[in-house]
Amino acid sequence: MKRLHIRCLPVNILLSMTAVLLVLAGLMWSYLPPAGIRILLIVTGIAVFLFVSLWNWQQRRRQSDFANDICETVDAFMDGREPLNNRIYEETQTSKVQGKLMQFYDCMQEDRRQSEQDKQVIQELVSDISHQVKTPIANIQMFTSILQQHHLSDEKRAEFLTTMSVQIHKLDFLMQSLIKMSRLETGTFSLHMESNSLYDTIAQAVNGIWAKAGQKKIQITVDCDSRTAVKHDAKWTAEALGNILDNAVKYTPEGGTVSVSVRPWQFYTRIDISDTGPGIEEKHYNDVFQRFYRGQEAASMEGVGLGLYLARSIIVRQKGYISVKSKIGKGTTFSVFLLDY
Amino acid sequence: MDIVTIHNLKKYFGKGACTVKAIDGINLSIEKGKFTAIIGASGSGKTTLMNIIGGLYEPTEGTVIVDGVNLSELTEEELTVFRRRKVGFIFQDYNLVPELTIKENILFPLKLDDSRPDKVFFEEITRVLGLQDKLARYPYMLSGGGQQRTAIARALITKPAIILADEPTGSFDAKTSQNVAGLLKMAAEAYHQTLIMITHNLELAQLADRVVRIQDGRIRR
Repeated sequence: MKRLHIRCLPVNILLSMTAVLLVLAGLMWSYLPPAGIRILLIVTGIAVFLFVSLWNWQQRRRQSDFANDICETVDAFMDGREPLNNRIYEETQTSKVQGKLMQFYDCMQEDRRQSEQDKQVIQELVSDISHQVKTPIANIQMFTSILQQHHLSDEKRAEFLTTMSVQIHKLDFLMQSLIKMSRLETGTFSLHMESNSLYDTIAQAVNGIWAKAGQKKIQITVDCDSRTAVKHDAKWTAEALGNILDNAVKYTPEGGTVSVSVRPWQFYTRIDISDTGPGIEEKHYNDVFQRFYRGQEAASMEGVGLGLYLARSIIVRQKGYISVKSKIGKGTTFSVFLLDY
Repeated sequence: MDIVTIHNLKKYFGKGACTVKAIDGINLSIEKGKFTAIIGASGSGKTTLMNIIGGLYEPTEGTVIVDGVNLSELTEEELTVFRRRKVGFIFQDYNLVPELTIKENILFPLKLDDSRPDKVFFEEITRVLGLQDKLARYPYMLSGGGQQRTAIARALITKPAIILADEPTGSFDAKTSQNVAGLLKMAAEAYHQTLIMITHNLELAQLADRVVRIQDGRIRR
């Protein structure tokens, strides 16, 4: 509004000054120079007055047209229809603002679509979870009732309790994953981006899978300079790397190797996690990061299909990304790119 | 939702016996907000396709609808405005103006549109692209990667709906290519933009949500 006033003011002053001059000229008619010049002065005065008024009027009309056009555009968006005066690619002010408004509207629409989609995902999630929870619960219920109703030998009793504890472990694992996921989704967790030693973070991640790898006689090698420092959240990144490592160990057959190597790049630091597992088909590269996705050959393995999904969410939140490269029968390499700036 | 819809597109250069069929019947839809990689050998029609989407070439036949507007229905002036406001171009050879500083180069498209830059946004993209302490320099003082990052910033500054990148990492080694493509992908995601990138590098194409293969002016299934 301020800019508008500044622009209008000189026009008004100019108009008043011309008017005052004309009145003065009228009052002091007899003092003015010869008739020819008098008339010329008066005519010029009137002409200037008329011209400026016309210009002023036109300017105001243009402004009001502009405002009306914009209002029409906004109205159209509110009604959810196309603007009547759609002139997006014209070299005019209206078109420029209209374009911006449209962009804004698109962004809003996109957000709305996204939140609709999220809603759907959550619904699917709830049904997925119910499905995942159903079997262990049913098992536990069944064994509990058997234990309550029948007199069993200590041996049988111990066997049933072991089965129950496996199911409880499954539920607990699912619960833990869900808690992490919900923290990521709702954004209630905050990233503490600090320049930390990547070596320590990787060590933390490797710690979590050491025992499992030992059981399967899988060799783990880490090639990382202990001085490499990258800006990242140590706790969550260790979680993400841990999930990828866990996956690698899970699918690598006995006696295989899982290797971690770190290479600093210009903007990103690349962490490669390679295994000698069965490999992933190219068409499933994207699927493995989806929630609850489990490969066909993974059906016999334990897990719920959240690990890589969580890993990717964590890395993306830190403005990094993950890519996969795999050779069937040879192994898979997950590359984590952490942005450092 | 599709931001680009191409129907039965043909583009021939030359006449009579020396007609070159650069694009020979392409049907393609590109989803909004996604990263599409177009790959194919040189001379397969990738660049022609991209230039048609960006309103630089007129098709010989077929329709191209970008963000709801049929490009063939636009006048030459409207096309100019369309390119300026809707599309961000990134070329292999950067196309920076050597006489302008990095900052002036980045802000150049806004100057054409007589717009004032969004200061906060400018600072953000120069920070993300690692250009904040190079703004006063001239293009020749920067490495190839630095110049390409300037070109990316210039393409982003107008917040275009579509970014068209023609072999943006063509002259770089594998490492710098991944760097530049990664930054481009990140920026496009952060600002809800549709990214269409031509590349012959299969590893880079893997970053994309979708890969379109072009051969002899047609899409290879």
